[in-house]
Amino acid sequence: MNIDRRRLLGLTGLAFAGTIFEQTLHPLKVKAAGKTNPRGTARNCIYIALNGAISQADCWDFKQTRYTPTDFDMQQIKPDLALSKTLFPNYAEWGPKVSLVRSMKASELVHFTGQYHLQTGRALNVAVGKEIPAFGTVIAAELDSQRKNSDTFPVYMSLSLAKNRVGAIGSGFFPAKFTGVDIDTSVVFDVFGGANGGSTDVLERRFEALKLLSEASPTGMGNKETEYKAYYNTAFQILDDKRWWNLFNVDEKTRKEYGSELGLNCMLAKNILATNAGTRFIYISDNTQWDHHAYIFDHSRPSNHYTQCNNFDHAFTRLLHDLESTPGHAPGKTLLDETMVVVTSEFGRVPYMNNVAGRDHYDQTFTSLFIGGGVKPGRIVGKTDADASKCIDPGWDHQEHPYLDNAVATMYSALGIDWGKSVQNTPSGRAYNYLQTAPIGGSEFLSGDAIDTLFV
Amino acid sequence: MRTAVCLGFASLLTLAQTPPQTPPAQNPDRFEKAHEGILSTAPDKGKQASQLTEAVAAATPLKASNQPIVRKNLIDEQIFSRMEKNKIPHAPLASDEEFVRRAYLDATGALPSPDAVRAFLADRDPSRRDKLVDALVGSDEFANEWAWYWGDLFGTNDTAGTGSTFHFYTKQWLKVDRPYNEVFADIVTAFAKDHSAVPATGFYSGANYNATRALSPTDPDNYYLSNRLDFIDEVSVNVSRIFLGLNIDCISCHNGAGHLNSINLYLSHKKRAEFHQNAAFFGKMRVIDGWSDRVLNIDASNAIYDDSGPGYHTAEDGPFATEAETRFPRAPHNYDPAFLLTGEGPQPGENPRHALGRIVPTHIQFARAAVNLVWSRLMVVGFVEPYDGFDLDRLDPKNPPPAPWTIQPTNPELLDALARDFQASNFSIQHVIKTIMKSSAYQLSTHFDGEWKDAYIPYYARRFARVMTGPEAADAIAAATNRPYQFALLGQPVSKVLELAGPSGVGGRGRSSEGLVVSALLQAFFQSNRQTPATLSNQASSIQAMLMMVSPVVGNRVAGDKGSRVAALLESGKSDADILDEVFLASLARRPTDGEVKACQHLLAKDRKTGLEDIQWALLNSPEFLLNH
Repeated sequence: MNIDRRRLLGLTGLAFAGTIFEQTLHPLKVKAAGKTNPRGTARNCIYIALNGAISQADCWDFKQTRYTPTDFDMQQIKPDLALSKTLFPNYAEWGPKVSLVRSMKASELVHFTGQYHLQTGRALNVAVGKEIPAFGTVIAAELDSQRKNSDTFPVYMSLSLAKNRVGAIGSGFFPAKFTGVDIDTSVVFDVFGGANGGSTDVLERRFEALKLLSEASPTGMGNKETEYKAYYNTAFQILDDKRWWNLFNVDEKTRKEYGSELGLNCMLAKNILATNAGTRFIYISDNTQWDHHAYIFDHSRPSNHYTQCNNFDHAFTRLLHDLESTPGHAPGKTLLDETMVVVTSEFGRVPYMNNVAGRDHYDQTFTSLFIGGGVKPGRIVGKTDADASKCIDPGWDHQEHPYLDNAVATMYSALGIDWGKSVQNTPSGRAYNYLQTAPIGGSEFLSGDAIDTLFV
Repeated sequence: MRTAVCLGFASLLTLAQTPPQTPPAQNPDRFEKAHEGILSTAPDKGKQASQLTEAVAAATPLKASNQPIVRKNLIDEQIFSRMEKNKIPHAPLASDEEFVRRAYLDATGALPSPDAVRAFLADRDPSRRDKLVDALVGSDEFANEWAWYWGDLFGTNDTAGTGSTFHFYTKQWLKVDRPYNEVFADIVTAFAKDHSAVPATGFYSGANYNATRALSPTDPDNYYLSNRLDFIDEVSVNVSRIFLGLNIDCISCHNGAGHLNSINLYLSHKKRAEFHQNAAFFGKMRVIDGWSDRVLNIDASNAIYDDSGPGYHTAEDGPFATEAETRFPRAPHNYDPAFLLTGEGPQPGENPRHALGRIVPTHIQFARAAVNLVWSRLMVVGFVEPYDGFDLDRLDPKNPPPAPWTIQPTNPELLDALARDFQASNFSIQHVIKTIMKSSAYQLSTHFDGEWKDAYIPYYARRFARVMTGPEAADAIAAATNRPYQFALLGQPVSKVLELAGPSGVGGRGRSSEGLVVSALLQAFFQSNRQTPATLSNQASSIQAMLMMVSPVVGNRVAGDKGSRVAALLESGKSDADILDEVFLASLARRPTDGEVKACQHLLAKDRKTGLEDIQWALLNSPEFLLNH
C-alpha cells in the first residue's frame, strides 16, 4: 500500500526515510567467513518457546521409568518415537511428521538466563550483555533488503514475549528499527479491536493534527529529516495499514476455538504470515506454568504436565492445520512448506523426581522440535540413555552437542542467512559472531554448524 | 524506490574488504578464535547523542537566550576556556522554558506543572536558576528519580523479596545526602543474621540468587546448592562495576593478556590471580539461605550474611564445597586480599570487608566513577562511556598511552577536578549534581547556530537531547493529562511509576489494570528489567512511536473524561487562548507560538471536544514531549 508522501511528517522525497537515514547512523561492518551453506528452504520461521521448561522424558523423548505415570496411554508411532495419547490427544496428526533433536544441551539452569539464551541464541555474558541483540533482530537486519514496497509489518514480531522472565530483549547494538514489535495477546484485541472500532479513522485524524501542529512551529519541522520523525513515520505506516487492524478483527467465537493465549498466538502467527505484509519471523512466548518443580503429575493441581501438554497439543495441532491449509508464496506450496516451526524450552527437566513429586531443571539433555520450511519430516536426531539423563549419540557429525545456538543457526540456514558472519564494529570492540563457537558466557565449545541433518 | 531500499540496506551492511592474511600460527588456545577480528574503533554514545540532538533541535521552536555566558564554577572554567583555546563555537544559553523543563526532569524525573512553569518564567530574580536547582535537588521526587538510576545499576528487584527494602535504603541515602564513601562502606560490610533486617544486604541478593543451583533441595541441611566463591566473584564484579567503573568480569575467568589487548590496556596487564586477590576481601563471607517448612524449599527472604567463612581458599572451599557453575575452575591456592588497583591489603587483624570499605574510597578512581555516573546522566554524554569501561592507563594526558591508544575521557582534566571536588565535599552526591546543574555548561541550549561537527562533541558545545527514561515517559504522560496511575507499593497507593521500588512494581494484571500496558511502555523506552544487563538506551524507536500513538495508556488519558486535563478545560469555560496555554504548559513547559495557536484553533473549530483531545494527543506525540532537551 502506498502511503501518500504528503501525509508523512515533513519528509522530502524519501518514502523509506527510516532505512536511508539509518545507514548514516549505524553502518555495520559485517565479515562473512564463507564457510557455511545456508539451505534457504524457508520464507518464514515461527519459534515457539515453552518457557519454564517442558519435561522431555515425559513427552518427546519418552522414557518408561519408575516415575512414569500409568495413565499416559503411550502410542508407538515409530520404533524411536512414542507419544502419549493422554497428553497429546491429537498425536496422530502431527506425531509422524515432526522432527526432533534429542541431544540438545543447555548452558544454564535458571529461567532468566535460560530465556535470555532463547531470545539471543547465546549464553548471557554480562561483560557485553548490554549490546547483544535478540536473534530476531539479526534476522530482521538480514532480511531487510527483501522487503517489498508494500510491506509495512516489521520483519520480526513477537507474541506475548514482553511478559516472559527477561522481557523482550531489544536490538542491542543493531539499529533500533530492527527491534521486534511485541504484541501482548491478552490486551491487543482491546487495543486494536473493540474500543478503536478496528478502524484507522481516529489515528489518521490525529496524525493529521500532529502534522498540522508540527508545521506550524516557526522554525518548522519542514526540510530537516529527523530520526525521530522517521520512527513515527514507520510506526504510522504500520498503524495506518488496514491489514494490521484486520489481524485483530477476530470474532469472539473464533477466539474461543483457539482457546488459550498460546492458541491465540498461533492463530495470530498464521494470520500475520498469511497477510504477507513483511513479517518473516515470529517468536511466540508461552509463559504458562511449565516449571513443575512440584506435583508435576498431580491431576488435582490447576497446572500440571497433563494440562500443559493438552493446551500445547490443542494450539499446535491447529497451527499446523492452519499452515497446511493456507497457500504459500510460491505456487503449489503451502504456508507450512515455507515456514519452519521450532518448538523448544530453555533447558530440560531432571530424569528423577524430587521430594515434592516434581522435576527440577536439567541441562544435560533436552529436546527441540522442528517441522516445516524444508525440514524433512520424521527425522529423529540424537539419542539419550534409558532415563534421558545422558546423551549417548549427538546425532550429527560433531562431537559437540547441539545447543540453542545451533538451533538458531538452523533457523538462519532455513531462511538463507549465513550464520558464519560476524559484525566487527560493536561498542565493546568484541566481534559479534552470529554463531559463537567459544561462547564467552558458556562453559563448553560449540560446533559452528547448523543442525543440517534435519534437512536431509 | 526499490533500488533505494536495496542500496540503503547494502550500505547498511558493508562487507569489509579483508586483505589476504597469513594463516595464524597453530594455537592450542581455542579461545583466540572467539576474539578474531576485534577492532578498536567503535560507534560511541557521544555520536549517538549528537545525531539525535541535531535531528530534534530544529523541532523545538524555542528561542535560545541571548544572555551572556557567565563562568559559574570549575566546570565552566574548564569547558569554556578549552573551547576558547581551540576556537570551538558553542550554543547559546538555553531559554528559561528549555531550562525549567530540563531541570525538573533531570533532578526529579517529573514534568513541572503549568503553575510551576508560570512562576519560574515570571520570576525576575537573576539567580532564579540556582534557586530552582537548590529547591529540586534533595526533594522526595529527587530521591525517587535517582534511586531508580542507582537501582538500575544495582539491579534492585524483588527476586529475593528484598527489592523494596534496598530501594528505600537507596532513596534514603540520596535524600539525606549521606557521604557516598560511607554508603559504600556500609554496603560492603553489611552483615545480618536475617538479611531482611539490614537493608544494605539487599546488594547481595542478586548475586546470591544467581549463584544458587536450580535444584529443589531435598532437606534443610543441603548446603551444596551454591558455590560460595562464585557468589563472591560476582559480588566483587558488581562492586567494581558500580563503584570503580571497571568491568572486571573478563579477568574473573582468565588473564587480561591475550584477550583484552585491544579492549582495555590497563586490564590487559591484569591476571586472574589479581582478580582473586581483589575478591578475597569478601573471602570470609558466608551466605546461608533460610528454609521454609511450608513450601519445602529455600526461603530466600531470610538469609544469613556473615563473615565466618574460611577465606578465599580455592583448593577446598569446605565444608560444603560445590562445583563452580558460573566461573571456570580455579587453581588451588589461598588468596590473601589485595586491592586490584594498588595491592593494598587489610591491616593485621582487620576484618577484610571493613578494609575494603576503608581502602576503596581513598583511591581517586572511586570518586571518578561516581562523578562519571552523575555527569553522564545530566550531560547525556559521560566522560567515559560506558560507565564501567574505564581504562586506567588512558586517563592522564601527561602520561599518555602508546599509539594507537588515545586518551579516553572527553575531558580528563575536568573529570579529575570534579573527582577531587567530590572528595573535598565529603563525597556529597548532591553537591556534584548541583555543581553540574548550576553551571552554564549544563544550561546551554540544544540549538546550535551554524554547522555542527562531531568533533565538537567532547567539548559539550551544546546541550545534548536524550530520550526520556521509561518511568519518566510514563509519568510525564500521566502528569501532562492529569490522570495519575493507581499502583500499590507495600499496600500503599502510589500514583507514579517513579514512586515504585522498581519496574516489577508495575506488575501484571493483578496489581493494576494498567500494569501490562505500562510495562510494555517501559520496555519500549529500554527500561532494564534489572535481571539482565540493560540494553543501550537513549535511543528512539518505532515501538515507542507505535505505543505512544495507540496505547491505552495514552488513549485513555487524552480523552475528555474522568477528570482529565482536557475534560477539566472543556468544562471550565475558559477562552481558547487560556486553554491552549494550559495544555502546552502542561506538556511542553512553554506557551504556544502564534502559528501553533492558529493551527489549534483550526482544529478546535471543527469540534471542540475532539479538537482538544487531538491537540493533547499531538502534543504527547511530538518529539519535544518525549525528549529531555
